[in-house]
Amino acid sequence: MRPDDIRVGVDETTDGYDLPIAADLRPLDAELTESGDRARRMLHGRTQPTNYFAMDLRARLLASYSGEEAGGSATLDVTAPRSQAQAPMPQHREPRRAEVSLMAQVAPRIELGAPAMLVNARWALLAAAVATGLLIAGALGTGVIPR
Amino acid sequence: MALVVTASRLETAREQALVARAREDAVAFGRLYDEYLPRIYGFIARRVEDRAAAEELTAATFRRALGAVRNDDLTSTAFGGFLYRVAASAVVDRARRSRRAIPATVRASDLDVGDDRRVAEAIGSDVAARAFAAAVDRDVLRRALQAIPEGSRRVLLLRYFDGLEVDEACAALNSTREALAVRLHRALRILRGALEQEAVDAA
Repeated sequence: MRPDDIRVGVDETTDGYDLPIAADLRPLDAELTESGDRARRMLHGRTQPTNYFAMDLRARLLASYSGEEAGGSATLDVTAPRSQAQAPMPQHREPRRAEVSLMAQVAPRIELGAPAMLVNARWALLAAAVATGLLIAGALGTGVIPR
Repeated sequence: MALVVTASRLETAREQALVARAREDAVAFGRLYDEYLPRIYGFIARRVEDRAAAEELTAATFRRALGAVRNDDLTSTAFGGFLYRVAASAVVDRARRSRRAIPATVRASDLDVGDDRRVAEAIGSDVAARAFAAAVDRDVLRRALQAIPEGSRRVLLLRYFDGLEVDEACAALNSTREALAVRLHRALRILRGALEQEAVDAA
């Protein structure tokens, strides 16, 4: 602390929302306060969130309480403080029997094998080749196509 | 003289009760969100000129706050101060990502030493300093504001430009009430000295 620094004592009259300002600095304090008010008024339109943004973000944040994430990623792009950065990763836990049963019930029913569309295409190609062969053989046999 | 407030403030006890409830209660977090969204968005938007970027950083700030509240991992007793610190970090992160001009005194390795330096850097950003200076009537005061050291300007910006409550400013700067009062007086005296010097130069 320097000799000209103020000391904030318990006898200072502060209401919890204020800092005591030395008497000789009050005019400057008042001028800067007025300038700050003006600056915020000048920027007011640009520094207020739109209703859409406010409502959308609110809904996305509160959705996490019901276990659903309504779009967007909860991943943060701000650096976590050291206490959080060094927190241990959650351990992998094997599912309990009831959970396994539930997972089996809700798992999509997918059978292994080639997709039906590919199977159909394969047979269609084979049929087309056979038909073409028969047509050529028939044409040769009947003399439509001269040998 | 009271700090200028931009919205009605939650009482500290009520805010702490809401934070405690918000761990499980969405309504409580919604109340905190409604209270702080305009101020945090404003703090960011006064330093980031692009609205989309301001929205992105605001969303990241509140997601981080939600995670901290739900995991009972708040690093500050003042929820508002925590939000301002996260918001300031997000502003600096964005500036670094977009490779904007960063003061030469700030090194990458400094980011590992707590968040104080990046918070200070965000508070004193050029965008904020320019916007505040533009609202100052007296030319000589405007020049004096530009002439004072960065550290002094930050304190003045936080108090007069952002209009933070004392408790929030203390939390944002990781400072005690007494230390903040000392820093503010020091900054005001430096500014007054710069004003006198400007007047001498003009004469």
